[in-house]
Amino acid sequence: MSLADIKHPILYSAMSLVAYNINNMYYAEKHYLWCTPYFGSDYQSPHYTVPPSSSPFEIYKLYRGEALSADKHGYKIEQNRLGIKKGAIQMHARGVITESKLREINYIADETEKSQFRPILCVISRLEAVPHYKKVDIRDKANPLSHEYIVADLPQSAFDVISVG
Amino acid sequence: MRDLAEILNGKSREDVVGALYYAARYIKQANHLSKYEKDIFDDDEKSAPSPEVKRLTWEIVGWVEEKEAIRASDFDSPTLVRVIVYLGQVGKQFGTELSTDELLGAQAAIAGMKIPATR
Repeated sequence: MSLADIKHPILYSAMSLVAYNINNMYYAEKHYLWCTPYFGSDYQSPHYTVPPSSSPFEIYKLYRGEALSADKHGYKIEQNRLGIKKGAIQMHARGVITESKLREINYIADETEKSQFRPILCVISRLEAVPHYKKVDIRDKANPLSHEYIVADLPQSAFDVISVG
Repeated sequence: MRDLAEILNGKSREDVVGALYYAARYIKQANHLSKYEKDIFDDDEKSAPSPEVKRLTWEIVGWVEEKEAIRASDFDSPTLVRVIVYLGQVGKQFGTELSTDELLGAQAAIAGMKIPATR
């Protein structure tokens, strides 16, 4: 089901503060987000069929646990470092950033302290996101409650940032 | 058993970073993939991985599973964390040299990170 066809007014997405700042500083405040119309506060509910690893609330808690409590037993920040570097490579391939900026982002991803990877939660207007909607998973056709959407180049103006807990 | 460096040797930095990212994504989601019919290579088309990145991803996943002697879908939490952290550390070995200006620019960006106003 397309993002344009669902009825939910709001989408949610969690990301690290480092990713947020890189998007703002290097990609002209354009954001690449995986989002769902479900916050995921109770992902064990039978009504919530997005996997736990895709729950914005669970992702938020993982970042918070690793960034703010110096949790040395997490993977989320290391995974995010790889994701930021992979994203920069693609932005360079698209001509959005120069080779020089690519090297800067690579350094930032590797060297920024864990505490800077604290989470932010994006609350996105679905209508604002629709023009930036890129893809829906195949399984979504079968299960209307398992929506995950990719929105690319989403401007800052399309969402609010909130903190939780 | 081959060393991971042997698998990655001679590959472009772009392919290695991409493959490490998707391998970590697979390992994180392996125990959910069949239930949720997820494709770990899902991304918008401008960000879609090349066939070489996909091939290298599976080679890395295969190497990890052989090393751990267990399928990624059966990893317990400590193993999952250890493996993804390791892949991240491998990725750091594929960094690039920065000029002085680039280094200063990156350090300024880190120092200048802002916490957005929250609602």
